[in-house]
Amino acid sequence: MIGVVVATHGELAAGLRDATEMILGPQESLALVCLRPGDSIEEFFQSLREAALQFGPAGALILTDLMGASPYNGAAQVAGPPGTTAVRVVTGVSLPMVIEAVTARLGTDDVDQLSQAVQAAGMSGILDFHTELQRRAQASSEALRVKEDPHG
Amino acid sequence: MAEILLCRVDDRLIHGQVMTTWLQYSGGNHILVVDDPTAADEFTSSIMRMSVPAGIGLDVTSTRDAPGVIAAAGNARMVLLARGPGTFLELLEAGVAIKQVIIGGMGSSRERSRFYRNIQASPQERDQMRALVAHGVDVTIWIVPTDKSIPVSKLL
Repeated sequence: MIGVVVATHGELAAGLRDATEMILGPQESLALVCLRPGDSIEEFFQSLREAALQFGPAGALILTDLMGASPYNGAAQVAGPPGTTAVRVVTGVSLPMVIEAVTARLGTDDVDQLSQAVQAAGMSGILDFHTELQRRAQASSEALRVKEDPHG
Repeated sequence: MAEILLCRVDDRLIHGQVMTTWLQYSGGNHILVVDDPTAADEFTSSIMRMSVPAGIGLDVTSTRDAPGVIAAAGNARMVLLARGPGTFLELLEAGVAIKQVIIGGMGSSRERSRFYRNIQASPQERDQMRALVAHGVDVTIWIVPTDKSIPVSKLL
């Protein structure tokens, strides 16, 4: 099974695991790496490397919080240039993405596929309530209209 | 000859919003990372490039090559980044005009001990800061522009 590593500033990673387990129950192969103020950056990068590589050839998906920040930079180092490792990095982590990561990996051993599923879950998880309500109302009245007048 | 607007010590070099804030504050349009390991590693340099805001130049160079890069950089408004005060001391001694060094981030390591809040420094780094101060360089701890800056001379 592909390992999932959540690497963030402060306790965000721990919070995301906490919320995920509240919804889905305890998770295996879900590692956290938290960067706290004043931490040694070398030790953080090393912990991140160990967390990702512990899953061996099954590979790992590292979810980080912010592009260009230290957790992302460290994860990028572990992932290496394209095609060199079985580690992938997706940034902008959210709860829908962590949930998708731990569930979708049950159906695939392909890290690139998992990365794509997680990105899609992240993006489709962002919507405005009223916009969505209106979109659905419009879609359903359009469906009704087509049903009543298929050629109109 | 490029204009040096800011010299910053941060062991994370370029990371996230911190760089954007300092670029805005200083009015710089070019970042020069002075770091031997990064200069020797194409892959790390390419990761670092991703963190640089659009429209801002980036060069990554070794300590030895930095004076030449600065001299050749035309009218770039430069922000220099290094992992430790020792790099700026070396540049100063190589003739680069450095007037101010800000300490933005120095995390823990085996050789370092607590210097001020989350800033850690080794005995060697403390000597390097003393030497910079002795050369007339204004050395302060200043994490983000909205914080107040603390002169290290009070702490050494």
